[in-house]
Amino acid sequence: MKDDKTDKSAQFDSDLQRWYRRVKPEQPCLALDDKMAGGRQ
Amino acid sequence: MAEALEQDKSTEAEADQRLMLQYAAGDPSAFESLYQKHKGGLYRYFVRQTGDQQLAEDLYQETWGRVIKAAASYETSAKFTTWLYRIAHNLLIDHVRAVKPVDLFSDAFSEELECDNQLPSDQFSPDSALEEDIKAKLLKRCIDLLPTVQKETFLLSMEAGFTAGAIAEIVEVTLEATKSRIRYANKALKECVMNKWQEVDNER
Repeated sequence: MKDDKTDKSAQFDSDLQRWYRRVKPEQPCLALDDKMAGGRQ
Repeated sequence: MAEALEQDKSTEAEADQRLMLQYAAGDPSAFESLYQKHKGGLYRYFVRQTGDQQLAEDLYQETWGRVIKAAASYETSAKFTTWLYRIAHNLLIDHVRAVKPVDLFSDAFSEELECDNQLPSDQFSPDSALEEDIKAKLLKRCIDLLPTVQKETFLLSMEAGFTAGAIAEIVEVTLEATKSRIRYANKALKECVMNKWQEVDNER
């Protein structure tokens, strides 16, 4: 049985991976970060 | 090369587990490190899955809240990221069950689409970097059009780097079903991007 990492049918296309990495990544806002700071809620 | 990458991933996973155990032992800075490391991927998982920023933020907070509450009982038998995204997946499923799917999966990026449409045609050039940028934007729209289960598979792979086996474990389906989702998503996304790119190219 082929391993995930060598089985092409178990991976996303390299073009899609490259394009996705070019998408500007959204990040949580600072207010959300503040709420989570140090594991507090 | 591949072995080195695997080694890095394994080291990363061990580092996450150590941080979680340190946090459970009362070190808040360990949580901060884990949070900073995984916040972006988890946030985008929810934003792109729900298409609703407020809902995504609620689910995102709830996920971290559960991590905090469960810290004391955390066991290193599961990779931290697998555990984290299983919590996220289950929260999303609970939400889907509680509301009408049509309310959940709304048109997420209408604002962005408007911005994209404002790109003047003279900004297009044969430059391959620009072509790649446009295809990246088109991909984002195409992801939004994917069926939910395929979208989730794509996001888990792209945002957290999960293998098909790990995704199958998180969403509790068979490896074959996961591979099938990857195959369909690959085909649908590639066709969608290329079709939209053709439309853009024809307008130039």
